[in-house]
Amino acid sequence: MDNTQEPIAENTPVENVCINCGNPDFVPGYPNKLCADCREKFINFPIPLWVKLFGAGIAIVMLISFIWLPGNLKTAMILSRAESNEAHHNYFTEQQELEKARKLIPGSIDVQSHLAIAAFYNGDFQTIDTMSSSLQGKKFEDTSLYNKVDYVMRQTREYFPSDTFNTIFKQYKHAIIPDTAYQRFIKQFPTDIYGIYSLAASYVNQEKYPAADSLLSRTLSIDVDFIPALTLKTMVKREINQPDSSIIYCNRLLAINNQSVFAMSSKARTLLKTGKNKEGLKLAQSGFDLDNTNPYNLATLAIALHLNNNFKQRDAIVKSAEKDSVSKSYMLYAKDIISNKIKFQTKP
Amino acid sequence: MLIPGFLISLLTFPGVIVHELAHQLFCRWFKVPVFKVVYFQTGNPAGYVLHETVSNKWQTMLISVGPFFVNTIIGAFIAFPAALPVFTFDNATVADYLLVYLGVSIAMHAFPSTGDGKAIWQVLKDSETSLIVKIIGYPVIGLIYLGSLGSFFWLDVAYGVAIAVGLPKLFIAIFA
Repeated sequence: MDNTQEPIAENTPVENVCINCGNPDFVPGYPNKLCADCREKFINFPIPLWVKLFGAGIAIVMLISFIWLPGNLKTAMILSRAESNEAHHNYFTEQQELEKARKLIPGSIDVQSHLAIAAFYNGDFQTIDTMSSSLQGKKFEDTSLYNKVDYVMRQTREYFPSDTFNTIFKQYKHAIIPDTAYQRFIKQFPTDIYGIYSLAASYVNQEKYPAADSLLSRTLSIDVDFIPALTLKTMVKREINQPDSSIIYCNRLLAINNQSVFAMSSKARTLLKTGKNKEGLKLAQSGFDLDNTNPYNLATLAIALHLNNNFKQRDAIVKSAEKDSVSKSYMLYAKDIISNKIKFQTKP
Repeated sequence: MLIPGFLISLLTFPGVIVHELAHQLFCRWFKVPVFKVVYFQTGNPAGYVLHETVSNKWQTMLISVGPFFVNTIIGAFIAFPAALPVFTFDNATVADYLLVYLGVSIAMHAFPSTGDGKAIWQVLKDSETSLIVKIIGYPVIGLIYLGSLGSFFWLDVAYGVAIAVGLPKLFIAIFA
């Protein structure tokens, strides 16, 4: 592909006429003797029709690209930010970003995969289920991403009862399963993590915290990152007056998901319980800033505001929780602390 | 892998046509008479533009290196939005792949040829050429010949891919 400059042949006789048409009235001052008309004609050397059509085709393609550009660019930016948040374990923000991206490109394997990962760490099992169905049978180009999705899907299965569990406890479909039935089950299936965890949760409900603590440790010996067990541990340790231990489990949850509002909130409660009111309030406020609808954290924030003597804001939070039944039920605990029905703090 | 040059040109002919058309349009812009244009052929070179010797040194330079900018910009523009579904979203359509192909083929023919380099060389060896033109011109010639040598090692293809695929990724990485 050259651009070649036409040289003047040295040995050809030089005539003082236009080299194209022979017109003696050529335009002086140029290497080639051309009359004004011929010079103009060669300046506007014709572009063949097929090249013009080709150029028009390229222009149309550029126009299409230009139309596609804003949407794709916006989506790519969102996806990039989501991936960056995932790398920093900021799964709450990641999920928010990916929900936006999913609306723009619903069929993207990348978006669905990352959304499944973020939803897992945020405990949003409904989204995981939706993403799992969407990703079924899809071919992954990125094996590293596939492995991550596969990991969260396998982990998610641990969070739900196994077929064996369902078969054995079929008779209790609409009734509370007695602890003895759980105990028999985990004796028969000692590695069924859901079974062990379910008994621990039952003990927590009955305020049998040391027994629950022991079972939760057993759960974590099977799966060190089993989030429901870590979550309960933060609470159980607080209840058995082991605040340092509670903080360690909160930090473990935060290491898994830097934006776990529950972990922030639970840590705030432990700090408040030990009299670190300002730190507790700060953390509860951070959780609120991240997700102002989380009912557990709304209750924590109400407790924190109460212990920091900010009664006006406390009452506003308590009032806001009246709007839905879930927040209202969580707020009952806070109300009991506010009314001194429950003695919350170990150190004033 | 050694693939005959004409085969690569044939596969990426849109880039050759855009390159020659850019030479021609730069000539038209500077009012330089053009005597012959071959937009594409299977021989070597794959295309060329025969035009009058230009007395203005800057114009000679721009006519020679103009396609570098034109092909780069058009290739990048075409491939940019399509490269994202192909390499980032994993949900590309046939249209996206076609646009990426078109973008790469146009961008990879951005490099000026050695013929373009010779045109600049003629300017630079002229004693009347100003120092500033020479300061800019010699590195350009060096790059042209380096690019020509590099094309044996697929440098032109690498450049096309970098513009069409790498540029969107770089942009996202910086501005996201």
